[in-house]
Amino acid sequence: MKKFLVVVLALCLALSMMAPALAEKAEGWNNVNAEGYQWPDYSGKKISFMWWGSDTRAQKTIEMIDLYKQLTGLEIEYEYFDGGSYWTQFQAKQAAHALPDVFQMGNNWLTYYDTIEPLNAYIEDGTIDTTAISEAMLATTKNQANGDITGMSNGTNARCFCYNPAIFDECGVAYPTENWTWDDFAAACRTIYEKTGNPAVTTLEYNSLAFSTVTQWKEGYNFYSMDGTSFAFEGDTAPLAYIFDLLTTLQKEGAIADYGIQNEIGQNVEADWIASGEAAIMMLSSNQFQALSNVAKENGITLELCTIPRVHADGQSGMVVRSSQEMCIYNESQNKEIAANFLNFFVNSIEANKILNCERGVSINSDVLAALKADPEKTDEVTGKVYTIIDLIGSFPDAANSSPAEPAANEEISDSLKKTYFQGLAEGKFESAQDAADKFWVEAQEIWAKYENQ
Amino acid sequence: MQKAAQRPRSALGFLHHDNTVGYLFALPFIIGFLGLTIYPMGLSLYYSFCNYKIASEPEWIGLTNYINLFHDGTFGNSLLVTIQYVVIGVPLKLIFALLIAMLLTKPTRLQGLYRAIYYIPSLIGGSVAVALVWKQLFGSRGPVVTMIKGLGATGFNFFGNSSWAFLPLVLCNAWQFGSSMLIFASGLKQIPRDYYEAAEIDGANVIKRFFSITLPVLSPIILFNLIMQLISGFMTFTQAQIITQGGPNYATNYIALNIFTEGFAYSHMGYACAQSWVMLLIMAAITGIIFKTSSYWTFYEN
Repeated sequence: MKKFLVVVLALCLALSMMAPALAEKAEGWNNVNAEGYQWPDYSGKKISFMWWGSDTRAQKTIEMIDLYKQLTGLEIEYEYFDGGSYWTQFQAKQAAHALPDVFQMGNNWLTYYDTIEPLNAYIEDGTIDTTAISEAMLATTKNQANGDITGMSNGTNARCFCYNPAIFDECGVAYPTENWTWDDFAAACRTIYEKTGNPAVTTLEYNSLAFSTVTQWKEGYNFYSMDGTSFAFEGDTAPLAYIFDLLTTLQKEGAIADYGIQNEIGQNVEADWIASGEAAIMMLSSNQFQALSNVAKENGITLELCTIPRVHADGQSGMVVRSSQEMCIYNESQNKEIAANFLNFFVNSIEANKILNCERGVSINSDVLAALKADPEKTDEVTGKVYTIIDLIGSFPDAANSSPAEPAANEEISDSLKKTYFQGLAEGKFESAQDAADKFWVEAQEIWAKYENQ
Repeated sequence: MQKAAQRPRSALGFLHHDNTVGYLFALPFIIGFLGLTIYPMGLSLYYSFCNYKIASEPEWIGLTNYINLFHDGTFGNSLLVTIQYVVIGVPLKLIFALLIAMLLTKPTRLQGLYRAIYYIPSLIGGSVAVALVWKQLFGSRGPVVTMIKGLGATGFNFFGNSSWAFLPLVLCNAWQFGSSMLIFASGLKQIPRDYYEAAEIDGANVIKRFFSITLPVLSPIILFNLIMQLISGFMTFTQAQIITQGGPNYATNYIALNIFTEGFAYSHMGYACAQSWVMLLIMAAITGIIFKTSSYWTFYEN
C-alpha cells in the first residue's frame, strides 16, 4: 500500500511538472519573437537552400542567413539563380535526388509536388509557429485537393501595373484610376508613343493578361478552375480575341515594344525601360516593385503602382492576391527538423523580416507586418505603395477567384499562348484575332490532355 | 619482348602486355565514353519509347512519341529553321574561313600573330558571354540597329522580327571560323608551288588559278570542314537560348532548343528523347549523302 502511494505521488509530481511544459509547447512555444526565446544550437550542422530572384533579393537573403547563423551556429549553403535558369537547375537536381533541404517554389508547385514535404505535422506540433498567421493566409499555399500545406508563403503579391507619372504629366495623359479600362490603356499608350517616340510599355505578361481578360469579361468566367484540376473556361473565345486584337494592334503601331525588346529585358525587371525613363508603363508582380524602384531612383525616377486595366469599368477586376512564392522543405532532406526551424525563423522573425522587408511579398505574419508598418525606416514610401495596392486589390470582390496552384499544363499552355498565338498574330499568321483565339482554345485542350495521360 | 608481350605468363607479364598498357592509358576515355556517352544514349533511346517525366517511372508506349512528331507543327518548324540556319550559316562560315586562310598564307612576320588573333573567337565562341555580347551588339539599342536606323529604317529590330532574327545568330556562328581557318591554312600550305608557277606561265589569272588549282586540291579538306560544321550547325543551342529564346514566334527555335524546352520546361522527357533521335537520323542521312556524293567533287592527288 505504501509502495502504491509512493508510486501515485511520484506520478502526480511528474505529471504536475510536465503540465506547464505541455501547455507551453501547445501554444506558440516556438515563437521566435517571444522574449527570452532560446535559440537552438546547430553549430557544426549544415543545411542547403536555393532561391531565384534579383540582386536586391540576394543581398537581403544572405544578410538574413548570416543573422540565423549568428543566432544558432547553423551553416547554410546557398545558391541563387535568375527566374529562368532556376527551373532547369531544379529539374537537374531533382533528377539526381540532390535538391537542397529548403528551396523556393512558385505557384507551379503542383508540377513538382513529389519533391515537397507537407508541413502540416510541423505546424501542428508548433515547430513552425502559426499563431500570428491567419487560416486564409495559410490557405494560399494549401493543396485544396488533400489539405497538404506545401510550403510557407513568403508573403502575398499581385500582378499589377506600374507607371511613371512624370511621363504621364509630360504627355498630358490622366493617371490610371483603380478601374481604368483597356480602352483607357490603349489611348494612354498611343498618346505617350506619339509624344515621346518610345514605346509606352516594354514588359507585359501576355498569358496572365489573357487569363485576366477572361475573368473580367463576365461574372463567373475564369480560365482555370479554383482547385487547378481542370479548365473553368467553356469555349467562349470572345475575351481572348479581344485582348489578342488590342495588344497586337498597339504593338504593330509601336505603342507597345516588339517581342525582341521584351525578350531582351526578359525576367530582369530592373532592366525594364521604365527604370531608365524611356517607357511609361510596365506590368510586374507587386513584390518586384522595391527592386525596380531602387534602380529607377538612381535615375531620378519615382514610380507608382496601379491596377491592371479592365474590360468594363464597373466589371470584374481580373486581379488576384496570391502567395508570391513559398519556401518548401525537400521530402528527401536529412535535416527536416532543422529546416523547419529555419523556415519558422524566416517567416516569423521580426528581426529577419526587418532585413527582408517584404521584398518577396507582403508578410503573412500579422505581428511581423505590424512591426514593419510601425517602423518608418522599413515602411518607406516605396514599400507603402506595395501595401496600398495589395490592400486595394484584396478589397475587389473577385480577387479570390484564382486557384493557389497553377495546373501542370499551365507552363506549356501559357508558352503556346504567347509564342504561337500572340506572336503569330503579330506576324500575320492568323486571319484574325478571333481565328487565333479559336485555334488557341483547341490547342490548349490538346496540351491539357497530354498532362492527363502523364 | 615481342613474345612476352603476346603471351603473358605472370601478373607482371600481364601488366607489361602492350594491350594492357594501351587500355590502361585509354581507360579515362573509355570510362567517360561508356558512362557519359554510350550509357546516356542507350537510356535516351529507351526513354524515346516511353512516357517519361524526370524523377518518375518511365512507362512504355511504343512508337507513340515518334508518331506524334509527325503532326507536331512546332517540331516541324524547328526542323525547317534549323535547316535554314545550316544552309545559310555553314557555307558563309566556310567561305569566310577560306578567305582569311588565303590572306594569311602570305608569309609575313605577323602571320602567326594574326592566325592566333583570328582563332580567338573559336576558343570562346560557344560561350554564354559571347552570346550576351551579341545580344547587346544586335539588340534594339545596340550599335548595329542604331546604324540601320540611321539609314532610315525606323522601328527596325532584328530580334523583334521573325524574318530577321536568325541573321545575328548566323553571323555569330560565322564569326567563329577559326578552327576551319586553321585547317584550310594547313591545306593551302600543302599545295605544291609549281602548280601555280606552271599556271602562271600558261597565262591563268588569279581567279582561274583559284578555281582550277586551289579549290580542287583543297576539296578533301573542304569535305572535312563541311561535315564538321554541318554537325555543329545542327546542334546549335547556346546563342538561340541566350539571345532569342527561340523567338519571336519560333523563328529561331532550333531543334536542340526545342528538345530542351520539351524535356526541361514541359517535362515531356520521352518525347524530347524521340526528337533527338530523329535529329540524329537526319544528321546521319545528310552526312551519308555528302560522303556518297563526295567522290564526284573531291579530288585526291594520289
